[in-house]
Amino acid sequence: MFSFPWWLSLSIGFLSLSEEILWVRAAGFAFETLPFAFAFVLACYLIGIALGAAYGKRLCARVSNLYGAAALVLAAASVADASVPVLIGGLLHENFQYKFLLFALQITVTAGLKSILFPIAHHLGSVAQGTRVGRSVSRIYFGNIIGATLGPLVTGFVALDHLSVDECFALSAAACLLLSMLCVLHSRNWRLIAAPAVAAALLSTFSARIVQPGPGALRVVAVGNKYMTHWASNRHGIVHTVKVNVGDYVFGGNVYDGIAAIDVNVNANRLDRLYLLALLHHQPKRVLSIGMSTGAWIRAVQGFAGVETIDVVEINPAYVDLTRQYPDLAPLLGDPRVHIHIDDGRRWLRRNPDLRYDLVIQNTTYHWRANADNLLSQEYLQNVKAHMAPGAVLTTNATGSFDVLATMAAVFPYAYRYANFGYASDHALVPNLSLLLTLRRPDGEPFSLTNVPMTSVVGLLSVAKLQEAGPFIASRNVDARIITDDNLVTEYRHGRRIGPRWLQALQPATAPEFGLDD
Amino acid sequence: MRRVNAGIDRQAATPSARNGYLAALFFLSGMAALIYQVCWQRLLFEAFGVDMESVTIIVSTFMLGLGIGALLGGEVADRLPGQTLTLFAAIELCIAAFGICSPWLIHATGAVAARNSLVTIAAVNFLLLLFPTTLMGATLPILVTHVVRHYRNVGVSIGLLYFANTLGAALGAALTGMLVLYYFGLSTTIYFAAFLNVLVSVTVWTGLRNRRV
Repeated sequence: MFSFPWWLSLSIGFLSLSEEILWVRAAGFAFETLPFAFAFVLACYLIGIALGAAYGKRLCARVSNLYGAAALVLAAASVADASVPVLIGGLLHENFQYKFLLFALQITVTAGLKSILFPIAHHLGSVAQGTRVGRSVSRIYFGNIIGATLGPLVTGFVALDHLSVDECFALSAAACLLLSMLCVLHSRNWRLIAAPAVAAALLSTFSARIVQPGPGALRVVAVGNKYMTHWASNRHGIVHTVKVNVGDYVFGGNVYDGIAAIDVNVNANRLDRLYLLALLHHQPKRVLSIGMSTGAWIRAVQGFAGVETIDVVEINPAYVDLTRQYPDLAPLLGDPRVHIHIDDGRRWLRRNPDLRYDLVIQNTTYHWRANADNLLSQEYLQNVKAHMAPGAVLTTNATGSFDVLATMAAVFPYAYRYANFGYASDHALVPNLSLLLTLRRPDGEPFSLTNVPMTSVVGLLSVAKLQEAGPFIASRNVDARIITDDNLVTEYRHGRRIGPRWLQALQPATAPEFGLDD
Repeated sequence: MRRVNAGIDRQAATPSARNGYLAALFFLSGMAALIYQVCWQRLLFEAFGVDMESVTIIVSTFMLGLGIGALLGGEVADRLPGQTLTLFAAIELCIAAFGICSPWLIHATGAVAARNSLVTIAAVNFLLLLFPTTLMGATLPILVTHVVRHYRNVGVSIGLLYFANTLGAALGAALTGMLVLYYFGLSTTIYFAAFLNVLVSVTVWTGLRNRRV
């Protein structure tokens, strides 16, 4: 059972599936975590596997020393893996036209080279005649599947929590090299040792470039990479920040995720959208925030009069570490009213069916990102509604999507739009500006309604008007659809388009969006 | 391929034509499998969460089910050497049946199980996906056992079938994520995959009767 071909089959399964996880991470980052990125990686990866299997089949039919062939293929796979960070880091830049082609080629080649070993391992470890053909094939295949099961577990849970994507590719290259040398031993053709030797020489040349702390090759595709201030990578994803004059911009998965700034006069991250919520509820005691980002908004909620509990659900603990880096924001972590739960927001609500809130804040990410509809769909909003106390108010960052507004209007009897946000409740909402005087600013000072810039929180709120969602959508004459768990409309049909033009021509037309100041 | 098919209308197909015919059907089977995987993964994210723990549980459960199927498939193929294609056709039909029920099953299970611990969620995911992934995993050794009778070379047989199946899988993944979901919802896309399974099954049954496979 545990012959060398069995182990070879297991190792190939392990390395292949590990690499799929790495490619999803790298391409997801490069293509702004659009749903397209996952399909793109999966398709290229499977094409590579198919082509590799076809070539492996030819080798099985024509080559007598298959261990020797395997040694050569694995040496090539080692070089291909090690060259991934070098090529991405060396060729890619913001305006690089062939980003898709580069990724497609690299994914296909790295997957394909390993896949050549799939029929070879089966051929070497199985019998071709008799009554045990099926069993012998199954055992080698089972070894492959065991490796393919362990690969994502080890890489997803452990490796990506401690190592960069570059370093993971380097480890994969080293593993291929080791397997290549073992195949040379089994081939008994000692001249073939030259192949892993050349691969080892190339690997050591590349290593200085690969083994570096921080983002590594992904830096070249990171938005604002010239002014990067923080980089945190763990098994949940990648968070980085970029220095700008009003405060650090935060990016989750390479997509803008807020600003680490709480000055209500500069109002860099449009805190008026949050403070409007305080004008819609007289006595909020329990507040729920789905998503945390830098914590700037939670810092502001701390100043809401009478708030006793602030539950924050955040999927990536890297954001908590990030908040600690900013002296203006870090105090929220020591507030006994603030409870941070590291969990999936949707699942957390299901796990806590009895909790009720007066204010629910969803400053969530762009509606076109992969899995965004999990926090925007009709089914999800119905669950949020079940967690709202009588008179409670929900605000969601619609990120300009008419579909989000339409969905809020379908779930709640009263739904409105202000800037690019949606607001909803069980009663008609009318902002009461005087409530602002009961709040404290993040710096602890009270609000003043006089002598403030028009772009400040107070300036914008003094002229703020809630527009009813239904008439607003009707006035724009757009195709606004109710988002469901089934149609995923903001991610696909009305989502952002990337990819080759011919492909975009086959997809339906995108939907218009509304802006902050429409 | 067209020329080969024209030939087999008049007489029983040659062994290589039969294998090409089977490879084409296995291509469609692979296409359906990846349509399911993309859609099920999404339904499972909705039901159980989209954090790295859930993602890893789902991917690993898929692979484990395929592995168990691989072991069982080889065992069954050796015990019923004359029935390999009948088995394959029946498996495709069972996958279609699960596929049709899957959106409802995943939602219903998720509504109950998502409140529980990670271990329970992992166990529920495993039980949920065990049936279809075991069936999917069994198809390769079953078909290899059938095809190897012609080639007498495991590497060539598995290479041919794996190539066809994985190429279909690539097309399935690309079509689903880049085109179909832009026009249809998850349920409709899943029903399309079930249709492909039924098509494969019916074609194999028909082929068996007409001695094409």
